[in-house]
Amino acid sequence: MAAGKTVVNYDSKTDPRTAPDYERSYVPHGARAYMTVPLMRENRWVASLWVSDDKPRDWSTEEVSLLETVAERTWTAIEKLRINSALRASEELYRVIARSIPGGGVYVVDKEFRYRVAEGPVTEAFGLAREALEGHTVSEVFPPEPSARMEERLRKNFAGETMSYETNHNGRVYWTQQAPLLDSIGQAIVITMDITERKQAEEALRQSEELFAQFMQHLPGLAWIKDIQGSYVYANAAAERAFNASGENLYGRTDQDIFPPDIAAQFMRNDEQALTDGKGIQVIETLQHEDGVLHYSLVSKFPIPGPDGNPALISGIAFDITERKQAEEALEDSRERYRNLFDLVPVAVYSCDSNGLIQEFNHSAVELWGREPQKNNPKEKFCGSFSIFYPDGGPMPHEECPMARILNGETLQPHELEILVERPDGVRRNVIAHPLPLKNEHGEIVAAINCLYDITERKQAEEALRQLNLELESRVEKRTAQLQAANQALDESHKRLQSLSQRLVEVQEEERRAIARELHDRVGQSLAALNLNLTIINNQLFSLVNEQVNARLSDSLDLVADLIALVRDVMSNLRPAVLDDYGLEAALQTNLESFKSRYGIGIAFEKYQSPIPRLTPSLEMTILRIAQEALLNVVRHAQADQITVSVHMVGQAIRLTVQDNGIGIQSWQSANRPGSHGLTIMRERAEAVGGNLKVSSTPGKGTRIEARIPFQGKPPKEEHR
Amino acid sequence: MITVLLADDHTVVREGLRYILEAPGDIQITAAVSNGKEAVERAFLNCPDVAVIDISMPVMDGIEATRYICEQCPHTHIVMLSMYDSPEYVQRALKAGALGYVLKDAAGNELVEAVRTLYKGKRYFSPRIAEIVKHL
Repeated sequence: MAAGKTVVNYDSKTDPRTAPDYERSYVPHGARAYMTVPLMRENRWVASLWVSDDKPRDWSTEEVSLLETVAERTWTAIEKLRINSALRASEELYRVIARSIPGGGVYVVDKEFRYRVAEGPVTEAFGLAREALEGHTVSEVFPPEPSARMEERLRKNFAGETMSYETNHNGRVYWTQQAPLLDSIGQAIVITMDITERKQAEEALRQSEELFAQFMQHLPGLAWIKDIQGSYVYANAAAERAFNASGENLYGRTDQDIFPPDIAAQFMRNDEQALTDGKGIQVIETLQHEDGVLHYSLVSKFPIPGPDGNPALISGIAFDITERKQAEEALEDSRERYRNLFDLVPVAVYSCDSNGLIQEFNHSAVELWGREPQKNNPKEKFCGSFSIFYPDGGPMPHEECPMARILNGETLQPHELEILVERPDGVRRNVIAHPLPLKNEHGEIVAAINCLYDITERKQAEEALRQLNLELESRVEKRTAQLQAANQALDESHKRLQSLSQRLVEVQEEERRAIARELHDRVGQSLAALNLNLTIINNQLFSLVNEQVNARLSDSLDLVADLIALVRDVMSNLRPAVLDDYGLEAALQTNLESFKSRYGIGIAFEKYQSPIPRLTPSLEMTILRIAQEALLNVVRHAQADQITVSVHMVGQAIRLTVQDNGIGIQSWQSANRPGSHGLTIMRERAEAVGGNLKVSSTPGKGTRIEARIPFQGKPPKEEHR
Repeated sequence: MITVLLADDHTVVREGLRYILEAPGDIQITAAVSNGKEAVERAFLNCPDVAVIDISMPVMDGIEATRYICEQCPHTHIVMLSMYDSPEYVQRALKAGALGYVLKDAAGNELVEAVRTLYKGKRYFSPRIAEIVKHL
């Protein structure tokens, strides 16, 4: 409006400015004369205030001035109305915005520090209501100290300054921006947002970055990140030290900027490959550190994809393996030394893998085998010799040799370790194998080492010794056999002698028995018949013949009776019938009875509880004869008046004792003289049947004779009469 | 009349004994045999009052024959004729069932008396044997 110029037209029909269009534009409106004031806003025409007359009119200055005043007043009113309306509309907008800011709020404050708008959840969060703020000044709502701070800020806003700050309230974080509200009548807008979650996320990110940084700084290796163009964006402290560049000297720079050309080329080549590969690579890179030592590093390079999935960064982690490298070189040195030793030892040594393929062998092995096998040749497994044998000379298949069996997991006995190795020239060597399996951590056999000891010379010496021993042994054996034969012959002759004497006794006894039977059957019976007949004759003739005939007959009867008694005695001596018929004890009893009555000596016969079983006739006879002989000895030499005879079993033997109370044996020399005493006869009888005889005597206190006659188990059943 | 079975393997003895036994007239020899088996058979056949049996005979001896006869003919009383005077023989004879035991060398004088004694159901032993029997 200010720049607008009032137009005054007194007659539009004649006025040159309007005449051309008079008929078309002015007549229809009846505007013969008019005045108009343009209404302008910001130098732009917006509207015009128009006053017209249908006849020409000479507008007065007062009329023009009045119109202009009206226009001015009207426009101002319209503008005010418009601004107020816009203000209300923007207030509405602010409120909508305020409500849509989560946990936030919008405040509009005028120059008098009065809240025009106070909208949004944050108001409630501060314990205030919209109505408590809107229409009230800051100082009316808040205590003096904070309100002074707030007014200070608002004053700056009114001066055109914008500011933002964070505040904490009730554990929440708020971000606030204050700015002058442009296009207005001097108000400030205050926008507040709850940024607690964002702050927390930022803190988490910060912590995570801190963690990453810590991790990287403590990584015992170098770590770095480059962008896709090769510029460093991160390096840990170790990397910075190794690259001899830090911070701004490193970030944004490339390998070419930092390292010598050949090193840079090496790094870039590997970066390129890691990117091409997509999954990353592991390589060994070399770099001379500032200490001047060439360091080897095991480097892992890998791409880090960006949001679009394509590699955005390339990262590297490197570990210094210089020491390991040096250790490997030292190991290689020691291997070399071992190899020399391996070749120099005077024992054949070789190794096979788990399949039996020959891996290594030393010079001594080649000498023993007489040839050099091919390593890893499937046709030469387990042993480098073409032909091997068992100690007895039988051919040994290679898959049965000790090495093969050890690889097969067997355990070998010492005697199974000896083999014969034949060289190509046909010479055989005795060898002791010492295969040793090598196992992995799971206990599986992965290889084996075999030491072969050539024992040919020892074997030969042993063989010579063995031959000597054999010869010696055979001599000793021969001599022993001769001695044994002599002993046996002696033994046999002794046995023959014994059995001969026994047989002699038996034959004698049989003979005696035969004679005794003859005496009984012929002589005895005939005498009995003769006696009987003589008795009859005597009875018949007694009264018929004279005294002399009777006397002769009586003599004859006495003679026959004597003869019968004699025959009975002889018979009894030769072979007592009671012995055959009733056994040893009965025969002894009978014998002792007749002895007692014949010699008038007191005899006690001690029998034991268990009866003596029947023995062979020769044994029974032997015992009876010894008893008879002992009794006769007592009568002949002892001058005794009491004899005790006892017979009983002791195990598998009969023990007969004859004890008298006589004078005892005065002279052993004369007692043992053949013929003088019965001792020798008794002893011979006892020994002839395998028994023995003991004689003990105390002068003045009698003699004791003890015969021990063994019998074998149950006596054989022999026909007794 | 006393019926008697006579058993002795010696013919002269057997005939002598027959003569002695038959001479008094009250004894009749119903059988005279030469071994134990025949004695048993004849005894079974006619069960004599007394049997005079020699202790030692072939085929079957007198002791065994005595045992059989005593079992089968309890009325026949047996007098054992023997050359032996050992207690064992006497004991065996008595155990087998004999009521009398006469030694052969005294038979000529004692046998008739022995037969008559046994016939009465009493026992008879030669004097030497009577001594032994006392101690059994």
